[in-house]
Amino acid sequence: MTLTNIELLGFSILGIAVIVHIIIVNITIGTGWISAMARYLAWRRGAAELEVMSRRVFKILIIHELFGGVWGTIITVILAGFFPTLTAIATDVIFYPIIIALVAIFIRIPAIALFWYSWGKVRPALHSVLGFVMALSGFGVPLGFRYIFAETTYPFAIGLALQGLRDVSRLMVFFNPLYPSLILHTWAGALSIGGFIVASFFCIKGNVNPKFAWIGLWHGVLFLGAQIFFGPFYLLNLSSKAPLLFDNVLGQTGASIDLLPIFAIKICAVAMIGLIAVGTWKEIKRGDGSVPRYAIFLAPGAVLVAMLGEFLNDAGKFPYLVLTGSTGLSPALFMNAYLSIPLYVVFAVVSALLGLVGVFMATAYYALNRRYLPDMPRS
Amino acid sequence: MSILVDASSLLVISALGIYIHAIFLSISLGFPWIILALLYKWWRTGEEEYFQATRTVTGVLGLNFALGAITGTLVEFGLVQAWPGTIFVIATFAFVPLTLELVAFAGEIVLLVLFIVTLRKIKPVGSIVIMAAYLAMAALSGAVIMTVNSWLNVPWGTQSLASNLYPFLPSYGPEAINPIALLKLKLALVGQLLTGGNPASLIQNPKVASSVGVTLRDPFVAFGSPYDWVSILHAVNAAMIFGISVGLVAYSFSFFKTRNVTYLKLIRAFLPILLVLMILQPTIIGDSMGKMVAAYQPTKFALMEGINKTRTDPLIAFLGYGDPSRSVIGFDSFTNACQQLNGKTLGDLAQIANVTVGTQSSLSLKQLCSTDVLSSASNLTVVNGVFLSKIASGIVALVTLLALASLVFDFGFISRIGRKIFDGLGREKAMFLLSVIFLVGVMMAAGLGWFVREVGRKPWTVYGLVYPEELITPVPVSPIVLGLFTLAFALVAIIGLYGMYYVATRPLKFTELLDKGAGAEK
Repeated sequence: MTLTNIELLGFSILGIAVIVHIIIVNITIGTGWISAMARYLAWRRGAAELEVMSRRVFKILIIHELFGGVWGTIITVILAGFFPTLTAIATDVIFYPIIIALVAIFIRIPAIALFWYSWGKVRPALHSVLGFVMALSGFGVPLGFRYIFAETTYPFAIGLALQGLRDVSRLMVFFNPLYPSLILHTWAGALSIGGFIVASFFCIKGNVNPKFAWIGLWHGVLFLGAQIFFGPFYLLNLSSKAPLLFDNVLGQTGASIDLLPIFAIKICAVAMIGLIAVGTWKEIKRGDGSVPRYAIFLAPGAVLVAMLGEFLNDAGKFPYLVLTGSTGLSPALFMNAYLSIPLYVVFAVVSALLGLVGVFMATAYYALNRRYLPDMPRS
Repeated sequence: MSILVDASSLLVISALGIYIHAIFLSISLGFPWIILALLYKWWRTGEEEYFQATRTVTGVLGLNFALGAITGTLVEFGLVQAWPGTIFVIATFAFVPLTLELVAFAGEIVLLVLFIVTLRKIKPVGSIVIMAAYLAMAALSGAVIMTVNSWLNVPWGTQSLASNLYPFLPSYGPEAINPIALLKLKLALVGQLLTGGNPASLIQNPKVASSVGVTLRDPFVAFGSPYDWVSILHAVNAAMIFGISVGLVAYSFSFFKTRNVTYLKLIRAFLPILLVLMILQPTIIGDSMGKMVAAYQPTKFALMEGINKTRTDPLIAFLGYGDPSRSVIGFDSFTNACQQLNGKTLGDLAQIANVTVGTQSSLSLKQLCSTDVLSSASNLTVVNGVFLSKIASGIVALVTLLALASLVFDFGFISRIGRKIFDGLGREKAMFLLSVIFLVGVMMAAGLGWFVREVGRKPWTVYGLVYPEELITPVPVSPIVLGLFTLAFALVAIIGLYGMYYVATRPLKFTELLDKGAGAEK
């Protein structure tokens, strides 16, 4: 089966937006948790340096959060614009999980703003509670939205809806057998990425701090270790629930696209992170010692792994948008039939958005590395 | 127990969401003007108090932006979740505006973060340029969203489609659609509605999409509507005025409480901007808006002006049509116009579209037209009352602002009168009172104006073409869940507003540990 140019464009643009979004939200979920924990421990232990760490880590989140949210909105518009039929099905069958994600976003963003701006202005106990509300609500976003990914990979509830059991399907969506492994894989990934980002952040010149880097590192290592179980658990689930995706990822016979090289790169990247982490671990065990310069590669390595992982998950469905075991439903089935999409508008908008990503990255660099966001709250 | 949600209760919740979002987006559009004015003063005078004020307003803007983004996201998701039928609009007429909105939204965030992190790290003129660019993006975002809303009000590009169903309606621009395709979809929606099905579920069916086919030929058509351009100016300017007035009240309050003349200086910096925007709103923009409504939404115009029976009213005719000699069209004329459809049925339309509508084919189009005219007319007392209240609020706001300006600046004779009137109160108290009255007036005018805009186009969501019942979700939702959702929305708004007040007013108290940490690091 081949895709037309517009189908391929829709598939690709959706994929790009999902990957950019997933990378950014992984960073924010992971750093949000570490920042909240550090804030809480600073208060309970009277550990002054942990409060400084919490604030610095939180700056990483602040810079990324809203921009990640924009890409979430971009995904919605791409879905509704390119694939209105699929979006309409999702808003019906996956109605309740989307509500869960919305409630989480609803709590998350104001909590982030309040956590930052109330620093030093409210009691530390209350501020710590705000921190945990902020951090935990972050996990609630994929808790809801990952049902969409589970359903497009293994349309458990959508299948019931297509059999006419629409009311049942809206509840059965919560029992999608692929979902538990996917969400565990997602959460562990976010925490591991957050940890490695923090570890790298505190080995940048002018920002070096072995204690803080150590906290990030053990978070990263702990949840990377957890992925040794969650990753294969998810892959094993795919073998029975989405054999085409499984075959594509491992380049097996019957694959519609061979992604084994990408999968191999991902595994190598994980191994590389593991090696760097072990080396760094030895140097800064329990926060003593000096941070080796090579630890800076932990963050880009973790981002690369997240990017490749999401690429495998989404592009592995090619040439289908929704999988049905060893085959799938083509993007053509869900494509916008009501409008000849003006491609030049799409290209112009995507170019502008990518340009803004560039400006955003430069801003983030200055904000984080040059300390353009204050370490101390200002009265 | 979960039940199917009825359109009217969901409309109320959607409206509440939009109103709450409007508070934050107005501040997002108004505060940049205050920041620009303060930055300009800081740049020209070098006085530190302008910079300190800039920093505080920026902090509030940052928190407000987060709240605006979250309420906007919820309104957007709420739209496709609660009204999935609108996905068709997003996939057609709103496609280009919404893709542009993505750029505007992303630009806003990038520029706001850039502004915050570079403030005082670069020259003031650099910060002014960044904030001006942010404001432009915020305005663009508002403009393209208004384009979508304007299309729902005046479905530009559908030419005579609506007037075929309602002969009193005008033609809406060029024919940018495939009328047969749109007619097919409309008949399918009506068919579902009349047989007790859920119309919005239709677009879940790929076969329906392929059978309807390409509906819109010109994806840019929404931008060609004159109603849209005036609506953009009207709504964006109103939002800016409201946003600036929030800052005005805050500084007037501080001036009243502390009697510190610094606050008066700060007010002087941005008050001229507010004056210009406020004078433009009713005189040029509002007048044009009224003429657009009269031209393209005759039922709404009749509702606003309370015209049940067609009559001669030179003032309303001049304001609405620019011609005092014309009769002002009322609901009796609309009902009479429905007579033109005598003998025509849904089956006739189905024949044109080459589709079957089953047992509903005998439905009289005249009856449909008359029923909808009656339905619209049932809102006459409410809409007319609200519209008149809006006008009164606007007048109060304008007069109050002029009085306040006369206390802040020296307008010679006018200022002397103003000072005489408010002499007993004292300038601080008078300014605070006037600014509060002004804010309430602006809020009422904007809020009631939006009510008129939305309720005035009922019984349709897309004026003359689509009913709310044709767009609503098929998912049963418990009223308790809906109630909780509404309550949570309102709570976030209240907490958010309190948070902004807190950020702006509270000094640092508990930073000992952080101080120690920072010191220990050194």
